[in-house]
Amino acid sequence: MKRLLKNNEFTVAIIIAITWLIFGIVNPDIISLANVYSITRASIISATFALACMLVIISGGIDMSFFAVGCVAMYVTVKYLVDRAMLDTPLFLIFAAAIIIGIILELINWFFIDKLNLPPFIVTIGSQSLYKGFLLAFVGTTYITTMPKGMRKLAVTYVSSTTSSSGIVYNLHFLVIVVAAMYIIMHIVLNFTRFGRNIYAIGADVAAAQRAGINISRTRFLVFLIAGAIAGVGGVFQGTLNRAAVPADLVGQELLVIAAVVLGGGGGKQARGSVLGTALGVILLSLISNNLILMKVPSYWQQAVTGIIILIGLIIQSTEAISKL
Amino acid sequence: MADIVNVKNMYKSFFGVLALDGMNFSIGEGEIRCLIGENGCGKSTLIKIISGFYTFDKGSLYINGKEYKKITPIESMNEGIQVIYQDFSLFPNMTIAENVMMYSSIRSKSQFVNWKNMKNRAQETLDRIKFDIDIDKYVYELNVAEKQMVAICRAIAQDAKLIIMDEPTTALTAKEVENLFKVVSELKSRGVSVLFVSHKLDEVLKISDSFTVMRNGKNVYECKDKKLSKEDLIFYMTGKKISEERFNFIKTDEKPLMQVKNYTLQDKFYDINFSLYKGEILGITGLLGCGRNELAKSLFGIMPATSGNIVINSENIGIIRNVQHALKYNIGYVPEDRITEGLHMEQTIADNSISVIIGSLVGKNGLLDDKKVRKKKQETLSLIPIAGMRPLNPAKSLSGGNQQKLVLAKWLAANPQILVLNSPTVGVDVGAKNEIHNIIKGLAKEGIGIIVISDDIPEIMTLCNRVFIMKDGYIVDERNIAETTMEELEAQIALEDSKAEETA
Amino acid sequence: MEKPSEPKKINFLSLLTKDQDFLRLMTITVAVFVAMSLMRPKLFLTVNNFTSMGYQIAELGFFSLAMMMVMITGGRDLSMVGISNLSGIIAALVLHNAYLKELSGINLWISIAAAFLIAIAVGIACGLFNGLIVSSLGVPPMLVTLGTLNLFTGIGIILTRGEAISKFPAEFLYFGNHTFLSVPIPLWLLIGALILTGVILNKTRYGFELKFIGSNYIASLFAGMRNKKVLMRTYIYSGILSAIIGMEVLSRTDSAKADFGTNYTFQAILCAVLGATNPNGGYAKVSCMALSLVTLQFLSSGFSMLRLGGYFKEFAWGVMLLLALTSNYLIEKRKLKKSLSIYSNKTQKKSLKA
Repeated sequence: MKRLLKNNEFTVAIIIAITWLIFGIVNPDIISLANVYSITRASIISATFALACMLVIISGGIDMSFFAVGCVAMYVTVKYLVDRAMLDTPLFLIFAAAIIIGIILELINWFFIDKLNLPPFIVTIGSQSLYKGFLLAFVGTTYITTMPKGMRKLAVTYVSSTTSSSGIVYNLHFLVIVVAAMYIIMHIVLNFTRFGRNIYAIGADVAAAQRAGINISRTRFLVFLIAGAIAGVGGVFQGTLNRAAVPADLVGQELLVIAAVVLGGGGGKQARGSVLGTALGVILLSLISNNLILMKVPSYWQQAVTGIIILIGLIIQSTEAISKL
Repeated sequence: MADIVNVKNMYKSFFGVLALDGMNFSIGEGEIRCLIGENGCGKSTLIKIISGFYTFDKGSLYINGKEYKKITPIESMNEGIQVIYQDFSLFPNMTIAENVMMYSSIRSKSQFVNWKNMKNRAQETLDRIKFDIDIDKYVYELNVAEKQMVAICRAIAQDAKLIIMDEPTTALTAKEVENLFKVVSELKSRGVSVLFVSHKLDEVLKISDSFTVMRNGKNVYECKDKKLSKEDLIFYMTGKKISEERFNFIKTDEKPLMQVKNYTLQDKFYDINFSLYKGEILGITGLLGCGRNELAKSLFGIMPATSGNIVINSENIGIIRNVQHALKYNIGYVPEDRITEGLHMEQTIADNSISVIIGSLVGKNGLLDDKKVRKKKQETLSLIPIAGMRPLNPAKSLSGGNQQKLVLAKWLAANPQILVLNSPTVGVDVGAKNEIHNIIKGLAKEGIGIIVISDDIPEIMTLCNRVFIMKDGYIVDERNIAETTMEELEAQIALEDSKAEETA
Repeated sequence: MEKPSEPKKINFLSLLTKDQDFLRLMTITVAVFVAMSLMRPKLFLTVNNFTSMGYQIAELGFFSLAMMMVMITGGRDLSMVGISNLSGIIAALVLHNAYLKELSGINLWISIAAAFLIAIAVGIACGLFNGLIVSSLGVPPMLVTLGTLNLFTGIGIILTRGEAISKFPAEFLYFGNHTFLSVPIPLWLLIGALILTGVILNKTRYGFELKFIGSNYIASLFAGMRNKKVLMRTYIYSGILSAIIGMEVLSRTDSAKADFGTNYTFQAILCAVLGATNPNGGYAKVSCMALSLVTLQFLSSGFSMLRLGGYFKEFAWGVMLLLALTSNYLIEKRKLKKSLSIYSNKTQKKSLKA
């Protein structure tokens, strides 16, 4: 029990439960399957990018460029296909192209951070600007609404549906299952493979990891490679759910995703981020941002509330760290 | 007895500086050896070559009879050589079980982690040396001794043939050291060799079968038994006879400079009472964890005491609440750890020298007075001469001994009437140590009251005129140095320790 | 023997080291200036262009100064833009009220003065809040200020309901849109702030302690420095600078918005890093930062004249930041090698003697 209380995931789960309960008392509609479907649908994008961001944070770095990477990967791919009227391109090729672009862009980050040993925050804030500027200055600034068929079909693929008390149909989006599967795979990779444990090791102590015989540079290489692949996938998800390719529309909102990871236990000095914690962090933030309207809180309150939640999360983490001393 | 490691006529240089200069060294199966030498004598270079982190320029390296021109860290581990560094290189965000099995798991080339199997094997390893602890605990929850045991278990888990321990006893209490020695004899009985690396003449000498003294990259003395006096050992380590005069205190003022009354910090130390006179050097010693470190910090306001009071020059000032409060009464403090607590390594030597007194260099207009600043920098840096120093180079360009001199100088600039020195010569070469001791004695002669906190008994003997022995947070004994000997003092500390154990 | 020659040595050496970073940046600045003048002489070398650059440079200048100060502590203040907008909005409420009531004469000036005071008070309060959290919790300042950025911006959105506030008294708008001695008033403010910051950094106890705390927090504590106070002051100073520039924006644009100028955070980091500020803390130089600011402004104006849009600028800034980091890295590496080789020569001599 004592260990459970010390556990960060447990703390976040309790906060979720309490928030949900309070929301439910104000508006009973919030505690419903329909609302669960809608929250999960709204979480798909941030959940995907959070996975990439978490991986980098566990390895001891930080990534501010993942949205820019995802946007470039998706927009370049879609624009290429649309310009050449290749709308019938199979979905897996679209994903493959976006993944490759994502990997290349994140590996540029890796080069500066690992090979030149530069501070990750400043490097990735620089590459964020570089990628976004590149996309808008050299690739295009227009909204593309005629999307490849595969993506259009994916946008309306549901696995289950429910009707809310007000008669509106809510669907469980197929991509929710995909993201869940990605989380499970990531959990397995992080906890049951040598590579996954090595990431935690270099995040905790680079010198000690080196002495243990871990190839730091290669591990980081793989971390950024996977993060790039996930960001590419996330970019395609974003285009799919938006039903349009909008250049760089997410860039600048990295904070919300980082906040989810930090709430889930990443970002502390102990490098203890976990897949479950990140998932809970994403859910908590989606829960709040999605339901403030149902709570009849004006939407312009949202940003301030998010700020407060992040600060509370940081304070909880720091008191945990203090009690450990 | 076959040699596990055999190093012959080895040379290694960095940027043209010889670190190893024809080093010869060998260690056999089941042997406990102590490798001893001053900082910078080449000990760590030798260790890093054996463990595969450095290459060597010339000479030969045989491990288990096989010659290596070049050895990688992995090859070295595969030959059964394990190094336990001072920081243990553990991962705080992982459990004991995972830490113990980490290296084996990395070497096994298996891409997957079988937690059940790992835990079982970790438990077996812990059982082998009778280390009783929950293997699911995270390493950040452990104390230093437990971490060291985990590191030893990690070495054993890989069937280590030779375990090299870097300064293994510096952070351990006497009981923990004893426990470590039990484990080491256990290892010896299994045929595992242990190499202690140390720059201090300490407990490890007692358990070692033999020792090797290094100086300037050479093996200058090797001994299979222990018939060597400390003085001779120092001679081999430094290459010179150093005889230090004892400190001779003449009381000039009957009124105490500082009186500490019933000073208590809950759970750390209790009821500390003593008086310090002008020009006196008072020693406080005891084993690790006896509360000496906390007492030192609370006399300087870093860890404020919970009750008691302090009288300085007949003025009752209560508890020293914070560093500013201590500074107000001209108390100076030289910390134990130069690198993290003592100096600003990136800043210039000149700026470091005035960092304590910067507040007093503000002119009438609220800005720093350039003239005063320049003058103070010069004055401070001439207080203690530091050879070959350039004032505008960063402090990190200095050697360890010179860094410590700079720390002393920056405190002297503040004109302290009381100086608290926490392990003033830890990690300093024997030569520089002597120099620093003379400086401290000189300061006392000028009328500063000095408190030296140290576990280095020879240091206490040469520096102080009185010494207190602390145990479990209490002062248990007071001695006049003139009326005691080093052996008696050491025996006294050990006695207090065993007495406490009997009653416990 | 060595003593008498020492003061001279100090001066000479300090000049030499001072010059290295400064000279490097000076070369870059001049090169950019020459390049732009050659490419677009009729547009670049005009009084108009320099006046308009003068207005533009002020905003980035203030943010960069604030970022530089926080960077010396080893932290980052990502909430500057939030503070700037929030204090601008609160002042805007006062000024808009004055506008609606058509105040004039002494009443008008009282309310303008009140608006300034309130804005600065908000800046101080926000800075204090940042400083309190950063100095009391062991959380990375970057995460804290990311959180407070959201909070401050969020409060701004709540106050404005997400819309822009505009229409302020003309007397107030004067200071953001006019020149004094043919130099834009905001630029005068920036020059003042640069000098003030330079003095604070080099000539005050606080500045000395700031650099020391940035290079080693614990050792500063042991040296009796006022760590928490210094941290707190730094974030407050950053808050005040942000608030002042919030007022300038208000005056220049005649409107207050909660999401104005979010790009400045990044540009401020770029400007500070390009200006030889050590992102790990402990070192910064106002003169270098000023040069880097001028360089960026030349580039920015030059890009516009070359018809390279805002997006190209973002791209270019990203490239520049990575280049600046890389060159700093290479210079540091060379310095290290040099100092090591000096060291080895010395010890070699020593060992020869022995």
